[in-house]
Amino acid sequence: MSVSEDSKNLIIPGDILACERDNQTVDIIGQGIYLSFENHLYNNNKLYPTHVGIENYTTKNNKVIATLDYNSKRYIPQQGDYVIATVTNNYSTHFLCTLNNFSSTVTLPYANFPQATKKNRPKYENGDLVYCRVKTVDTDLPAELECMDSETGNKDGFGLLEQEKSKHTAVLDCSLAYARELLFNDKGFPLLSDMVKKNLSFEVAIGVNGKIWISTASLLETLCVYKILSKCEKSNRDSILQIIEETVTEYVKE
Amino acid sequence: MAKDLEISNIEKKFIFDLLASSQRLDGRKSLLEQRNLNIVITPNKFGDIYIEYKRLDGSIATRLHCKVTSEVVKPKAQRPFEGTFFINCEFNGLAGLNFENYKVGSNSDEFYYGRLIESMILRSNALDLEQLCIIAGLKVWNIRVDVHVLEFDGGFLELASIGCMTSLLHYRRPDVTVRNEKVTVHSFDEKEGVKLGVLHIPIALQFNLFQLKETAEIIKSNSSIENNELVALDCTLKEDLLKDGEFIIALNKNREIVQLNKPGGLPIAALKLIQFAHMALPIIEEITSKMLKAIEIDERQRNKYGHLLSAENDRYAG
Amino acid sequence: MSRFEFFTSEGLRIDGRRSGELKNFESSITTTSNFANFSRSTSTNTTYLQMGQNKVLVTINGPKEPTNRSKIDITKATLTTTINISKFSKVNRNTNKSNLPDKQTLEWEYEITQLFSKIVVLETYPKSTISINVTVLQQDGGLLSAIINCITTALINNSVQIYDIVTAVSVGIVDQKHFLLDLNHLEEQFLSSGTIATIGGSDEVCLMRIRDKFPLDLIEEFVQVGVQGCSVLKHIIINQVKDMNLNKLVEIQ
Repeated sequence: MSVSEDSKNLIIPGDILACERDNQTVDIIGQGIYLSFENHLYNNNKLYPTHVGIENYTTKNNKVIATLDYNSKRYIPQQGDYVIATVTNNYSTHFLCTLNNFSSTVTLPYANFPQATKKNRPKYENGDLVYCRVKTVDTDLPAELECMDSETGNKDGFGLLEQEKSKHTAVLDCSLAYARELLFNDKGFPLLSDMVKKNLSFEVAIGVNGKIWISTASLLETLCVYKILSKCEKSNRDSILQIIEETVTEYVKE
Repeated sequence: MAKDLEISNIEKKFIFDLLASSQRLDGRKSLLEQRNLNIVITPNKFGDIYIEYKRLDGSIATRLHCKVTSEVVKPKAQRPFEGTFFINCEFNGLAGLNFENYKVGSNSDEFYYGRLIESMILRSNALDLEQLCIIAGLKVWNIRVDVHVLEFDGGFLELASIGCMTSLLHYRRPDVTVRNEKVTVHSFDEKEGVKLGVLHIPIALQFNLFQLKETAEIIKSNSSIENNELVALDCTLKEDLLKDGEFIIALNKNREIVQLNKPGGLPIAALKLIQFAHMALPIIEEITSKMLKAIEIDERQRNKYGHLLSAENDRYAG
Repeated sequence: MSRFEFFTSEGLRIDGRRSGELKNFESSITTTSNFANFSRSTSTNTTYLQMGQNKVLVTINGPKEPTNRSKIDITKATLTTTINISKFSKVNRNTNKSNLPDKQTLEWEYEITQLFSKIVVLETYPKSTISINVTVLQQDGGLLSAIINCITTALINNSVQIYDIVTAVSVGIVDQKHFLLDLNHLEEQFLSSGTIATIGGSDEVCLMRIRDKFPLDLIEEFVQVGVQGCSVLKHIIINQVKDMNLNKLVEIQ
């Protein structure tokens, strides 16, 4: 068995990252990399990989971003992530939401909505899905979500994922890497655009916490999209077109 | 069943809509369709069985391990002529995170289902306990079935009942000889094992009810005419969490109800209840024949050289 | 087959009843004389029910705020049931030394909780608990049905909102053809029997429980006898509840 090009760069915890080896400066660190803090004993800031994955360096606005792509099912909130949260409880100042089953809850304060006043508070029920962004992550406090762009105060597409009467909606749970791939790695969403080419019209919202929200006009179409997305997660890139073809003929064009 | 699983309203509605148009989330196209049942008998062992439900794409949905063990014990004082039988159902973190905080309590479904299977086999005398007596009042066999849930996506009750019965049918206990009140247990090398006395094969089937209207409306309406509920067989975990009631029936091939349970939940018209009871029979007959076939295939494999060693002669050959 | 003749050719059972005859049924409220007692002044009433030789006491506690905060459900009330079968309730004293309930009682608790969570209008009492405490003083056959009937009466007496009345009876079968209603202790021990509960005397079955071997082809008749028994029982319960509440009305006026 030959080692492919990708797996040569596979980093496991304990390895030395390429940027450390080459003494390269990194401005922003992403998932899977831990920055050891400056302290009395070790007077150095070092980057350590904490997961098994492939390291990845990109430059954006003259800033080097280092990430470690890894797959997992458990989501740990990180600042700036776009997530789909489930409302589980509401209090006088905030909603309590979960991002994952069996994980600690996060808060969504009423103040983090556009045009929030004391009287004008959003009315969400328990079990509703909200598309929002992680605002702050603190080790001592539960993570805080926001439903607006906090710099401009605009709504920016955040908010309740509604159940319109004429539409059929569904939520798909997937692995975190798949959600990230759909959002970032696929330039121009090839998988989703392939599906559109097959005359499937649908709306999606992808949260990096491993949740995909789908909305179409008919129930069977929703089921079809649901099936395609869940099948493509486990299969090769090359067979995507075939899967789409099969599923569409199975559910929509019978 | 689960404590910390959150199902959003959107998902709830989606699953309900699918059920209402007789589609299932895992690709099945009918409410009364079961997933593929697969029985794996571990070779070279007796009564060690893996039993699983497979999804349409071949992945394993639910997987249980049933193992029978036996030991010689003192019988209970009230029943000196009978052996003892015990089923241990264990849900732990292996089956899913929702079972981690499992405590024996009246409100846990796991406890209830475990009890159902135990009493299904015990109270209907499916296992002949008198055959397990070695010396009356002193020594009897204790048969114990351990059921472990290795993977869980609904359908525990059916799989556990099939698994228990298959492993009991397949198990052989060591042979014993009694001489002057002294009991010798022979290993399988010395004497061939003895099959347990299984008198009939009860299998449980769970019908899951989903309510279509508000509770007040259902209670006030005449449901033998109106359609108030959906009935589905073999629910996945998500459907299981959303169900409003259940109806469990354990039957054997001889047209006998071994157990019938409708533990509260959504009320259902008596006529429909009877209808389901009759509907269960062909399904259970099919499962029973599948079970017996799996055991027969295993037996043939085990006894590969049996015909060479046997003294039977083929009189009518040629 | 059995040592007793459960159903004679004259159509009489051991205790002299006919096949479809119920045991005498009697219920009353507020057995505690000290009604203004501090601890039970808010909402608690005790209901006593006698169904043949079954003697059951039910106290309903709530709707009240739960002591345990984690048990709060903000959309509806949570229902809990505890059944205490006293050790002297049978002919022979229960020799089980531990005070923990046995497995059958736990099963009943589960079933009763499941049953009444669809009958009580839980949505009207959000963030609260309703606990049903059952004490069995004496048991004859068909204890589960007596408990269910007593809880229904108790729920009415405690003015907890319910959709409809639930009634339950036990049914047994003799020689594969005679169906006996409302079994006594001996009949329950030797016959294959079951319990059936319906809503408001209609044919809506909300609880059914058969734990003995039972021929599949006789299930129709079994259900039919049970449903009929339940509808008769409903009228008895309604009459008794009316009698009990007449006093209440007098108090108001």
